[in-house]
Amino acid sequence: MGTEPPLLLDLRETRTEQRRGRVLSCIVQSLLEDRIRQSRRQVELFRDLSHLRTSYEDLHRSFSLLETFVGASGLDQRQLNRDLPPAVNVAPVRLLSAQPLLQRLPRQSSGICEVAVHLARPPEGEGHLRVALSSIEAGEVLATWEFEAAELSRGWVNLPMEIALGPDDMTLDLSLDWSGLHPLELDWCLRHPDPRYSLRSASATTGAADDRVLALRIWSYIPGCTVPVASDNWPTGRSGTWILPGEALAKGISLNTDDENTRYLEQFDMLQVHPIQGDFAAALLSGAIDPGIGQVSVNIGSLSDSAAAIDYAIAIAPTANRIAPVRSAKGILRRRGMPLKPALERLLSLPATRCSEWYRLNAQEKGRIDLLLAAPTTEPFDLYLITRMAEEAERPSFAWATFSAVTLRSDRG
Amino acid sequence: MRDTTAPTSPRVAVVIPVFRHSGLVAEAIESVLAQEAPFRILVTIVNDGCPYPETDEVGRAYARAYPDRVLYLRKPNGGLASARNFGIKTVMDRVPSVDAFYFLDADNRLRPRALARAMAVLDEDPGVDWVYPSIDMFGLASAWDYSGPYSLLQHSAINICEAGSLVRRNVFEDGVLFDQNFRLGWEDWDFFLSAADAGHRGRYLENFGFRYRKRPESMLMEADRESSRLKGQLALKHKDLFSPRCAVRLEAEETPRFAIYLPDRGNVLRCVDPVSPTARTVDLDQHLRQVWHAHTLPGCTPSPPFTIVMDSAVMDSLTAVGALHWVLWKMERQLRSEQIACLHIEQGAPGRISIKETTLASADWQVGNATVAAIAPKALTEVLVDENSYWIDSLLSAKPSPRVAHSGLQLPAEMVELRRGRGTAVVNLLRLVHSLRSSPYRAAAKQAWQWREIGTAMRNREYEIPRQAFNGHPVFPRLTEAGRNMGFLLPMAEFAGVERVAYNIAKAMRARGWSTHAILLDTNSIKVLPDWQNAFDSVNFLSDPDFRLGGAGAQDFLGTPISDWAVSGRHDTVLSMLYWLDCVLNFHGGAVAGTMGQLRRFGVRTVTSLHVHDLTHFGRPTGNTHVGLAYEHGFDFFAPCSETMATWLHGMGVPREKIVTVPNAPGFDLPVSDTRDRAAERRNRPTDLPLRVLFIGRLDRQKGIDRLDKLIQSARDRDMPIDWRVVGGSVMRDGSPTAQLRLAVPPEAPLSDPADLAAAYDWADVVVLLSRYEGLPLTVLEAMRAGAVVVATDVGAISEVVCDGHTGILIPDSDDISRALDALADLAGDRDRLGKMAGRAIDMARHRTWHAATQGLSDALDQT
Repeated sequence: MGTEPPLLLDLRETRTEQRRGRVLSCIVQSLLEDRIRQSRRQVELFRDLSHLRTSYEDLHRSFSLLETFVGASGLDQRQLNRDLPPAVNVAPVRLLSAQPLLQRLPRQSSGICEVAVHLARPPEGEGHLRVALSSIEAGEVLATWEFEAAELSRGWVNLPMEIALGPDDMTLDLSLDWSGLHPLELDWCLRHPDPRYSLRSASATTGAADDRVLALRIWSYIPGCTVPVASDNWPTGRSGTWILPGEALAKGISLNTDDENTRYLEQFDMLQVHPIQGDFAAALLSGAIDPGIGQVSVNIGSLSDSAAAIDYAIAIAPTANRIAPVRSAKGILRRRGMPLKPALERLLSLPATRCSEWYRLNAQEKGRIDLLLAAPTTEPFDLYLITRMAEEAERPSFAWATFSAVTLRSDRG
Repeated sequence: MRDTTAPTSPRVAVVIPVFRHSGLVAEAIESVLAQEAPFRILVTIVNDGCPYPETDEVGRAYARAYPDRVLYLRKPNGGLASARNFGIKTVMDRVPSVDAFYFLDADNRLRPRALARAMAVLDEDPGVDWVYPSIDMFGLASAWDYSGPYSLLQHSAINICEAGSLVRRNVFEDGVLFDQNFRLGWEDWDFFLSAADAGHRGRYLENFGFRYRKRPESMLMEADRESSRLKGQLALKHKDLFSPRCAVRLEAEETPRFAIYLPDRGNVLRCVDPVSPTARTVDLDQHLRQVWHAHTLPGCTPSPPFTIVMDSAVMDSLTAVGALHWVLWKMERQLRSEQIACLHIEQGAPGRISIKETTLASADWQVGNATVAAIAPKALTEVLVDENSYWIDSLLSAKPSPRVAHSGLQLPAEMVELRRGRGTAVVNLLRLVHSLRSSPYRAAAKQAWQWREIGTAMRNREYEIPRQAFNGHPVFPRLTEAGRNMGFLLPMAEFAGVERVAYNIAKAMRARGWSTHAILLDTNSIKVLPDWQNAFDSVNFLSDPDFRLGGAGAQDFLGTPISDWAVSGRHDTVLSMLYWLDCVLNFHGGAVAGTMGQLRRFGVRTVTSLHVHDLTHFGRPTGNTHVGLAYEHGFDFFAPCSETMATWLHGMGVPREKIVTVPNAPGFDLPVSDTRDRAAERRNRPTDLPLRVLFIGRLDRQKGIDRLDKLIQSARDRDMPIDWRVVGGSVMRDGSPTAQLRLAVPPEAPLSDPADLAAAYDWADVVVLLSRYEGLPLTVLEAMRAGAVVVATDVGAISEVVCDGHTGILIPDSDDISRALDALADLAGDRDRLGKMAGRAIDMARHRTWHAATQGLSDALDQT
């Protein structure tokens, strides 16, 4: 083991009395050379380490700028990568108590940020479901989820991760382990001829063949990055970042009387809040901010190439302080007959309201408002998306001001 | 005895050769030190004379830091193979506890549980000798999967086993090491092929945890640039493995080419050779699942690429006739260009087997009436994924959309009694297709499942590997484990003369334990003799439109033209048809002599059976005897039918050791029950009856038919007491005046039945043969056996058996028939002399048997 022995020293031509001295001299010389060599190598390693650190810090800074850019560009969306919907008119898979099943995921691990399985019906009685995601190559459990029976209902059971899996591609197994009096019934999507890809028993000894594949959904995001999650998928109490889905933006209500121009633009996934001459324009997203939120960010910009400059702002306020819209003759919730500016300024001045500065953008300019809260919200808040013409006298023709990618961040637990 | 009991003894040694990778080797070492395994692992760093001091420093540092886990070795530079071998040998000598070696290049890495998982595979299955990995490349990122059972055949075509494999110690104990001659690369490919040659086998471990650093420029890239040279080096070293015969054997064992669906049995025969023990029957459900498995995850599982449908009774009939392998080969050839192949088996004329082919349907050959149907691999794939089935369903319409090849096989009723009625093969093919399309596994094929790329790119295309030896031509599906196989190359088969010799040699060799196969080179229709199945195990038609039996070419040899086909024709069809035989006997096969040298390289022993010189118009010897000389190097043996021919061959420079005379014997056997004393019977014949003179043979100029005619007329002019019979027909249409000759005695139809032939000879007192040239005619020997006195021209080797005035009468080769006339007059007038000559002829011919004739050839073949 270890290294080979040192080279032999030929002492045949050395006098006996000189041999000891020669051996010692040789050892000293050898050790000295070795020390010098080691010192040089150590210095080289210090130098290499310092270069690597500098490079690492630059990379970190660049990544931070990239994050901002991606966020500002509205690119930070997770992707539904695989959708294997439930087969119809088939008997579900019965997950028996204490007989866990394994399902291999049909794609590589890189970037996976959420998986969903489909429950055929709510569980009967009490029970507990433990789901784990493991890599076969590394033999590591990468994520686990636990559900009580009461938390489970028919349909997709989402299994999100705070951070998308890293770029090191591996093969993943999803294991489902149920404890309950009655079996948990799961939907499956198709039959597979290769047993590696169909359901199998987690126990090697009771590995009965089953050629069915669980109904699955798999989402992916930038590998190794914190995932923006649609809030309706986010389990209560979780920390992280997520983006309000389009359906939430579509529920935005104009607070201006008879304003036909504030509406959700589905093709762009944006909420247009059209400025009003001489007044503020605002849309209300009721209760959009859950407790625990520490930062709200919104992309802003006009869809017009020729509009005059527009000011944008956002604000959050407790739902109890909501500017109450009234129902107009057309059946849409509106405030009737009054300019919005006084009511909104009153709201913005309340101590519990948090609002951003005004951000001024010319046509063709895009921007982002980040509203950092001094302390996380402790109760549900409304979100107000506000615009005005930069010059009060300016006509808002072709203004087409929009808000999008409303991103909420909670503090890590 | 190795001491493996010490608790701290390592079970696995990881050998890391280092040469100019001093900056990266620490990653490799760290990844091994970080292994999570229930056994100890020894890191063996081999500094392969690396010129960078850093390599030494890193090696020493790790060895000092982990003296119990790291062994650091230095050696002069010798290349990757040399470095690995150094590490292996050192560990084998010093660390007896090591059960397995893993080879990690200095710039690669392992995931923490890789070796534990791989060792578990070795521990589970003692039949596995190495575990090879999936390869996850970083740098130039990609990932490769080699799922499915290990295939040595695939491994001969592409390197499916990365060096980063865990190899059992016994492989090295068997003397298998890395070949240091592969300095440009592929030493790992060679290593595993050598291990396989020694009987070891590997197993794939999916998700192994092996990480390969891929750079645009690497040793592997250099090896790829030298690929043709290295492939040649591999093929030379592993000659047997790269032979088509071995390739087909492996194909049969590992990945059958044909799925023969037998609807009446409800199962599928998966095979290359359907009568080989390697053929396996699976039920239909299993077949459907495997087909979809192969389509869903290409590369992961073997599934026969060619689907063929026939009833089991049809397959039994084809087997009985000996045409099953040929039918499979024929259909595979058709499916190179067509999408569907249909074979129509019909009841043909008595005593004949015939084939026909076309791509056009006819009134007789409707797709729906086919007896056997086959679908091409690509067409089946397209049909399975097609959104609807209109295209394939149109097969039963008047104008099918798929391209269809038709061929016909007509079999005589005495060989096979065919069931009357329509064939149902195509209907059953469609049923199979619809069963596949309605399979519950079809949905899976529409999704992507495997994230790694397919490394086993040849899976289910293995049939292309043996084809590589034949420029992509389909390879005859026959395995040779069953015994010794001898092919008889026949231009045609009407079974007179040379062909009858072939027939008798076939029977004799078959009786000696050979399997015999008729290979018809230049005909689509053959005569089937009554005891055909005692002579040939199979019948096979070359059916190659490119083949030219003869014809002039740019070259001639000793004045005999060598055909262009022999010199530069496309030989692939012939070679792919014959490669599997242990021996071929060429019976005047003309240009096929041009393939003999190539067949020898495939391990086929080649024999040319020579009988007679043809004569040019001016009487100069030419023909197959001279073609044989031209290709002397291509033949292992020359088998002349007479000593006269043997002497000529030796005189022309053929080594004596290559000449094995197979002297002709009577062309048909007398029934075993026929124990008559023919000499006594002849002595007791009345002496006052006219002399009975028989001619039997081809009615052509060579046989001197014009001389015979003159003889008959002269005898009649002299009122000689002779009863004449002329039996035979013209086979060669030589266009000469003799072919048009109207004989004075109307000829009787040729005889082939042994009883009829025996009766004809028994009838005759004299058999007359006035040939211009001959070898050693069977007629002469048959006549002598029967006691008919032969009166023949002294040509060829007739004098070897006919002793003039003793066992017969020889007359000079001349158009002057007076000597023949005198001989007949003499015999007619002296019956006592006739009887004595008959008795001596019978005695002489008694010893002429085919068993005795083939003894020398059999001995010669047994010795090579």
